Amino acid sequence: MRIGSYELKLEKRLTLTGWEAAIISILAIIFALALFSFIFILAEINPLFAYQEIFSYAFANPYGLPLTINRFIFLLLCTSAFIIPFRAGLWNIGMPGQLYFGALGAFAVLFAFGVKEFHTSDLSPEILIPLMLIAAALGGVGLGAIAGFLKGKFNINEIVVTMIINFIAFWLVAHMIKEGGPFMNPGGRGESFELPPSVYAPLIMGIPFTIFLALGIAVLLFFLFAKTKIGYQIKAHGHNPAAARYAGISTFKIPLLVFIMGGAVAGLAGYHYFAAVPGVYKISRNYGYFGDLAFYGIICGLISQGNPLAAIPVALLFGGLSIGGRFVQGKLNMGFGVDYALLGVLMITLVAFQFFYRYKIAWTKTGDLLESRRRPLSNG
Amino acid sequence: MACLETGFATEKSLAEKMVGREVIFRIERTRVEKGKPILQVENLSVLSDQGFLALDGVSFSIREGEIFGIAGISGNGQHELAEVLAGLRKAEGGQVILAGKDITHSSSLERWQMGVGHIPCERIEVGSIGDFSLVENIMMNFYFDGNVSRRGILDYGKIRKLTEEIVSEYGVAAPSPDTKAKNLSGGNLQRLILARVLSRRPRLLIANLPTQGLDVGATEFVRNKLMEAKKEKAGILLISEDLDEILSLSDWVAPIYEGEFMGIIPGGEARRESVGAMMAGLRVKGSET
Repeated sequence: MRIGSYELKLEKRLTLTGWEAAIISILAIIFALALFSFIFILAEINPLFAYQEIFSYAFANPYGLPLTINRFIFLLLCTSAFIIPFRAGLWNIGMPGQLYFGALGAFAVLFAFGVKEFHTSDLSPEILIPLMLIAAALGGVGLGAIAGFLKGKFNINEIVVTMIINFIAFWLVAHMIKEGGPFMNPGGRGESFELPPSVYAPLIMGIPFTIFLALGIAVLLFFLFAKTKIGYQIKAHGHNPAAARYAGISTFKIPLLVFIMGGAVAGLAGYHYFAAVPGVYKISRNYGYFGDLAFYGIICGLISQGNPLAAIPVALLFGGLSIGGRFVQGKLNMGFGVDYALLGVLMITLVAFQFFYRYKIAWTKTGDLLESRRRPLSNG
Repeated sequence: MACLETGFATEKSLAEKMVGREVIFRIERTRVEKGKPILQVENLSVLSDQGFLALDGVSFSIREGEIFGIAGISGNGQHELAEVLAGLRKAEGGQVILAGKDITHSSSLERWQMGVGHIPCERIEVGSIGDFSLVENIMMNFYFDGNVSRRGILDYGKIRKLTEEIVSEYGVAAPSPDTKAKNLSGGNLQRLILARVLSRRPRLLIANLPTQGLDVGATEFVRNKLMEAKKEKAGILLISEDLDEILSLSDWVAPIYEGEFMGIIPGGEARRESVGAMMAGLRVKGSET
């Protein structure tokens, strides 16, 4: 495109620094918010006012902020669970199932200690909470390992396997917590028995300790990929499995390992939402909603390009917008689904803007027309 | 660079103008004192990807400081042979013995650690990782070494240093060790792969089509490096479709046809015509050694 003696051109990028990627993502977010303003304008709401409400509720409101943070922890864990196999070139679509199993694992520990029958409140949290965490991780591992094993041993598509297992896990949770299920609430409300207050997850300024777990895992993963042997093997497998095999990297062990790790982290996400978020403390009736939410881990993982540290701000933004979007929907009497629509628009824009990871718009002065025409000839 | 009249241009003079210096086409087979046998292959059979017998009961041995050249048209079992020796393909029958130790069922990682080096024929698909930097590409053959990985942490500094040495010694044209491998030309990529494998000082080197598709300068370079490795007592299995290359470098020439050796001839006695005929499936009587 030519404007006066200047020319706009698309140029291929050879390199992309982390900062450039970050700037492109921020521009994409601004663009998405501008695009979504049309929804507010159609509803005859001033978009600036709506965004102010969304952001102030999500990030500066004493009621909204804890919700945002809890959702952030959940999303960050799901993102990490996606990123680990992603770096090995594999797609973990099984976070919902893995987190359901994580929740079942955590509640199974309580069940084994007789919490459901006796409502014992003298359980020692020092023993039970670590046990619940381990059981939650193992629950996720069990499910993830199936996909990893089938992929590594028989090269069965991991997307299909994890997807199918999600359905099995969903209905298994229903079986466990609904009418007649072993984890059923004695009141029969279609949800699980409740945690006794003695094993509520410790809170730090109202925030569950799982935030350290989520952030710690993100930092550890960054270190794992940047410095360690196992991280190197995962990355090599992700970029070129044939070359990895040539270099002696097992194409069986790596898929199995990444799905075990991813499953463990997703299992912890299950522990977090059903056993650590204040006010929940049970496998709630709408557990499927959190399974759906776990899919945003895929989006956050893709946007952060598999970088576990970049996933932190992305997960925070998505967590905040989903909370703020739901809030303005109620406050401004809008139709159902503002939060999902907002996340959807944001997602599409971010993906579309990845175009600029590979191309950039160059703004060059062309000089006079004749000279620019002549230039190609002088080379030959 | 220059204009030569067709009638006066020879292969040698053209190559000289292209590379900017004299190119030696025939590398003298250097005499290296024969050492102990490094590789013994007994009656080895291998299946191809399609499931038919790609290699049918092949036996041979390579000594230290020897180049064993396999001449043949691609698709006659030589790639399967390279893969089975590198541990990337399962042997259906027979034995592979490396320096007296049976490695028939060893993994490729164990073979790397025991001193087998492998230069694969697909340098982009198998030999390198395009999205990795040169440092990370060099790491491919070192991440498992005890002095590179300590308690699971890789010493990238050490490999960066090695990469810098390699880039200058092997003349890899790249702006920095952080350049991605996919930005290298074929010749430069092959130099990188060769350097990576040779800097492990392998006892047995499997070189599968090491000069395929390279310009004359890079071809000469690769051949010289193979000769250097030979002088350092490596046993080398050279697979090539270039008959001149096989004849000028090898101490033993084994023409391969449909998964069988048509004979194993001492390099000095191998003639172009007879080897060519054997590659086409003609078994020459009395050439077995």
